[in-house]
Amino acid sequence: MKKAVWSGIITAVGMLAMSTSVYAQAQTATGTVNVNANVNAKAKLTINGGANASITFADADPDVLATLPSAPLNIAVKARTSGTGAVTLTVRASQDLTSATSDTIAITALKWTSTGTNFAVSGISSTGADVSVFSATGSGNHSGVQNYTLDNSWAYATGTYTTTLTYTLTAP
Amino acid sequence: MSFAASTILTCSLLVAALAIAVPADAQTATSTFSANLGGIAKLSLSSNTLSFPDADPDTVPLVPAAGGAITIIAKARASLAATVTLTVVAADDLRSGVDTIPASALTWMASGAGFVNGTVSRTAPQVVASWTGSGIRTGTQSYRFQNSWSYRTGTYSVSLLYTLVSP
Repeated sequence: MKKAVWSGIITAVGMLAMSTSVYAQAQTATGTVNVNANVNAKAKLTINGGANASITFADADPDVLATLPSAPLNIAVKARTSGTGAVTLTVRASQDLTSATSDTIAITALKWTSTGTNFAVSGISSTGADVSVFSATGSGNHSGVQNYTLDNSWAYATGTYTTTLTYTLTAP
Repeated sequence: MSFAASTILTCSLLVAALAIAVPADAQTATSTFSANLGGIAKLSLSSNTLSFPDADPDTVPLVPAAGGAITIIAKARASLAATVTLTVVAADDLRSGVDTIPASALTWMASGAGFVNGTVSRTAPQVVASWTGSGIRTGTQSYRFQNSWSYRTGTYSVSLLYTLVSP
């Protein structure tokens, strides 16, 4: 009888020890969250910090200044596209430089030079075609400076000449 | 009651019965009851998906998740001094085909006792919350996606794995 009792006690102690070792293991629980983030194509262009800017050429003696300078335009290009997407910025003039009395100066007298990565080094304004100002591949922020000049000439009729330059940024 | 506990009780009662069979004298018998409360961990997330809509990086530099915050309920049974920890790790970077955005673009703001703010990593589990001892803890995680002009277009996906450990 005593042997049976002791066997029971030993068995119980043994099982208790075994069960304790099981419960001592770290318990873990897991969960999963699936994340989706949508990144769509975008294009943003600012000139001198805004959507619209103006440049003015002061009058000057053609013998002294063959080309009239203007204040620089700071151009910021932001584009989000595919890895191979072609980002382009072009400019086109609405008309030749035209005065209130309808005198004109050929738009080709309006030229520029640029600085900045992927910006065209120079260009001549056109009313008939988009002229490339900037081109790059892929997404990113870009900035450059465009300095316009106007050819000066004794042949121009007096007046205040205006035109509008439209910039178009494309990110497919 | 666990099997081990019931076995102890049976054996103890057997000892007591044997003791009673001995001729009447001053006898004492002790019955010991025990219950093994093992460690348990249980985790509940209010949502298993997070979706970030497209947004202008200039106006929304940190895009909040469309569904709002995730509510987390963590239940753990541990010893008094044990540290219960909830971590999260990304399975990969955010991926859209061959294009990737680092998992660290995902950050969260937390609320609730024991919950902390953090940044997702794909290499090391990041602590979401930790506590000492047993209990039920509830908190929230408000995820945000770091927006940028430099990202390539696409729908980026990744899985976040949560692990609650109760030692």
